[in-house]
Amino acid sequence: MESKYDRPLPEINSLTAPFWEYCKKHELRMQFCRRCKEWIWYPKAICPKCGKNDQMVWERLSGKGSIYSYTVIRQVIDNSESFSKDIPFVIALIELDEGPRIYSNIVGVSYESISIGDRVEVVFEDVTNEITLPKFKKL
Amino acid sequence: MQSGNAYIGSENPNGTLARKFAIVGYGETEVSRARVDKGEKKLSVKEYLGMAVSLALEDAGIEKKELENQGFGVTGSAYPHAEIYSGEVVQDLGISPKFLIRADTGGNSGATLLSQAGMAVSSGLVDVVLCVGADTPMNITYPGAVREWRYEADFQKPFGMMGPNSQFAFIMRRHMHQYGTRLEEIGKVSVSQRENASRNKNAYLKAPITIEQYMSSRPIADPVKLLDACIQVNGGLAFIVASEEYAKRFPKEKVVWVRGMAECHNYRHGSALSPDLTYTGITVCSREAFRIAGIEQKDVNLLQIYDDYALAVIMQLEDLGFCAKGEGGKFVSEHDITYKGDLPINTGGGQLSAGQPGMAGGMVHIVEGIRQLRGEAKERQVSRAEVCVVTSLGCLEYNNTFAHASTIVMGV
Ligand SMILES: [Zn+2]
Repeated sequence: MESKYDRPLPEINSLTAPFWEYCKKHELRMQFCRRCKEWIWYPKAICPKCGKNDQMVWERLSGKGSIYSYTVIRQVIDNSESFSKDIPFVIALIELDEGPRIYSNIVGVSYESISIGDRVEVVFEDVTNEITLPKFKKL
Repeated sequence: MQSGNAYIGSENPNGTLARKFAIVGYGETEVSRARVDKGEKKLSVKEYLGMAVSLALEDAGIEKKELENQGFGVTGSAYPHAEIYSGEVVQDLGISPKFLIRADTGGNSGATLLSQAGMAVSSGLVDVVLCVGADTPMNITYPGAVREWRYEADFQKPFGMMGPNSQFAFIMRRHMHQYGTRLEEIGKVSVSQRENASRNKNAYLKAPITIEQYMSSRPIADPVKLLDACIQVNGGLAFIVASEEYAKRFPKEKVVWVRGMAECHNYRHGSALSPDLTYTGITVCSREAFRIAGIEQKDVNLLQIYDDYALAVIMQLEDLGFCAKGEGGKFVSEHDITYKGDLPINTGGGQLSAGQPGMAGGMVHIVEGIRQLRGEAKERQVSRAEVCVVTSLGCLEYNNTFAHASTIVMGV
């Protein structure tokens, strides 16, 4: 854990708290509607398919997926200057094997070795006492 | 152009336009990057709003008092933040409307104003609606003023997402991967629009560029480079929407008709959970707008296509049905899309070169469409301008393209 983590952190509220709580336990979970058999991501108050919330549960995912698309960040903007020391770094849109897609970083490899379709797996980074970020490494 | 029955609801059971409506005046201010050190003006958003309104009134040849007890619409402004905003704007301008719109659909805001103004004049609620948009993104001096959505702040920013440039990079990468779209094809959009801008005295960037300059421009968020992206400016625009009856008092050559218009919001192509990131809502609303207007692609003389990024133009040419999905790059390489070409696009330079005045950016396309149809585009006038299609997009979503899409068919 970095002693002084200075990158932007998410704001936790009652809707998003379960996600971050599970991340702290190093579990990747998302909402799932048992009625629709449909994953829901990012956290929502009602199922976007049936419009109800009575069958929504936080289900665990395998944490494995493939890169659907990605970018290499080359310059920062003024609300995220703390990322300047990480440049160049990769943000990928990862399609998890269960279906939902999540944005995260690909860590542990140089951006030159990344391609669409690469298999990846979640790794958890405890960046503060409160926040653990789900990141991904190549399989 | 024969108007026929294309606007009549009974002829178009699913259409959104019950009656035709018109645009009878427009205004466009000078733009600036607020570089005082370079002799550029640094003006407030209130000054831009005021100038745009004055210019539109002058163009339409009407007195401000004719807008009393009528309709008024305004786009949002990134700076300063004000959740209650339209009330301040009408107070500043000294207008007392009976119908008030404030658009919050990002780049689509101008189209939202046009759509709601059109419904208001078509329903008989009011005769005329003054629509104005102005923004001063170059005056932002503190980080908190940068636009940020909740999903962006919580689920993108902690991983280093850097606003629209990086959000669009995923779409661009995917289009290139899925269809083999080449940078040279995407760059042709930037180069062609700059050629158009070189004939627009109000464009911020006028110096012609080459494809080599595009290819070697500074990387921002791969594959997005500097010359893929629009350039933010301070500026203001306005247009005056009128009912068919009210429009009759204006000289025929100053009246532009909205022949068909449709919107589509939160469109997700293929799958709600895992949509195809190469489609926009233009796929849906362009079909509807074309049907209401009674036109096909071959009837279109010129286009003003929302261009926050060069690839967005290519994607929308596909979505508009000018070519198959994935063939937009090839289509652009085979056509001259400058003002003098066989399919002129963004004839004033678009947001890529003329500039994006923040939340009023989509009004650049609407105003240039009006100007061309009225034959007032001077050195960049398209030789035959009778049917112009204008598109708007807004709000880059999480794991999708744009939340907002509009297609407007305008004619003389
Ligand atoms: Zn459901």
